[in-house]
Amino acid sequence: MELQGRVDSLKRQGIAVAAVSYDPVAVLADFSARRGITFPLLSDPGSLTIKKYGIFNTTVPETNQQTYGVPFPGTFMLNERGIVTARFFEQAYQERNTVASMLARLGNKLDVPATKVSSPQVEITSFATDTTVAPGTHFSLVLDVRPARGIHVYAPGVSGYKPIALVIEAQPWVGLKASRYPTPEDYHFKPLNEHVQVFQRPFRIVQDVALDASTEAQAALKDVSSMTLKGTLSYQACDEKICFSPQSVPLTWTIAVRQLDRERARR
Amino acid sequence: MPTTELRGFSRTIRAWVTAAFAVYAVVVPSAARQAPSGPALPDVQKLGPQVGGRVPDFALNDQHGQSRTLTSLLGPKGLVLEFYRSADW
Repeated sequence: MELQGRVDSLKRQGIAVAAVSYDPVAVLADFSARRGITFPLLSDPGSLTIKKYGIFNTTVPETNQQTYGVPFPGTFMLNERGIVTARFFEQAYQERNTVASMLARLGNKLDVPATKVSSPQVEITSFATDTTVAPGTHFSLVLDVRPARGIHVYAPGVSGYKPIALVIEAQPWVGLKASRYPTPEDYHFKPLNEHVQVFQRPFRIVQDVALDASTEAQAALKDVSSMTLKGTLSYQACDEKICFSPQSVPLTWTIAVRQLDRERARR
Repeated sequence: MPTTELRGFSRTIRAWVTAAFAVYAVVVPSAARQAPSGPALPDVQKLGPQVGGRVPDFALNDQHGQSRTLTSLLGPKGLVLEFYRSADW
């Protein structure tokens, strides 16, 4: 399970992990021993808790003995009081958000290899939330951008300056959603009495990526062992006196590709 | 102040540069989902506790047969609670 790989770093951040299914304890004990699972796998016989949570899959006929009782798969992120801070559910079970990607969107730090690109004005730390993905995996490319003291960069939608923009090159079977930027802050440029939306504190750009889960995609990716995503971050940095020339930073992320998750099959 | 004049003056140039460098986000529509067989799927985003709501408590046995409640599982910074189909297939 992808979750197992994240347990230790989550624990260091004070975040616990647990997973619920309708399986009997004996099945979970067996699975856990074979997979080296160290976090609680909870047994919900009769799917009573799944029903209580309102995520019981009502589309499965009762006659389907294997599948009846499953939830719509998904993940709740809870705070220390059990309040939902985020939730990640997908319509099709093959489509999954990785835990790392969920955490990245919430602004958490991740123990993943990162690349740093620095200029005197802006330091960019770039990483992919996951080192291995499969068809249906929803993961993220992340840019942590740190403007130097006194420097700001312009937010998307700003006119008159070059706004920051992350553009990822399209490629087959790779679905790209719109990049997510945090809420910018207002910058008052007194000499022109001009208000403009900027980032001047460290901020995170998250680009969600979904690897296609269709049969065609699975066939096309059967012999693919890795993929490289390419993109460009363009921005303009200014301080209160000078605007530096616009920058275009090329970025790449290479990610291993594996076949669709069959790890739950017993044989 | 010469420095601020410089900035005000260069704004026109910057606007021109901005236009010259303008880039547009490429958004590829997410993969078409396979048509489900059987009853229509509900909108899963609307099912169950929503952001800001509290999830129901429970007492479930873990893989070692030990009973765990939601409260006992919550870490000092919270819990990632995953619901999945099965460990058996």
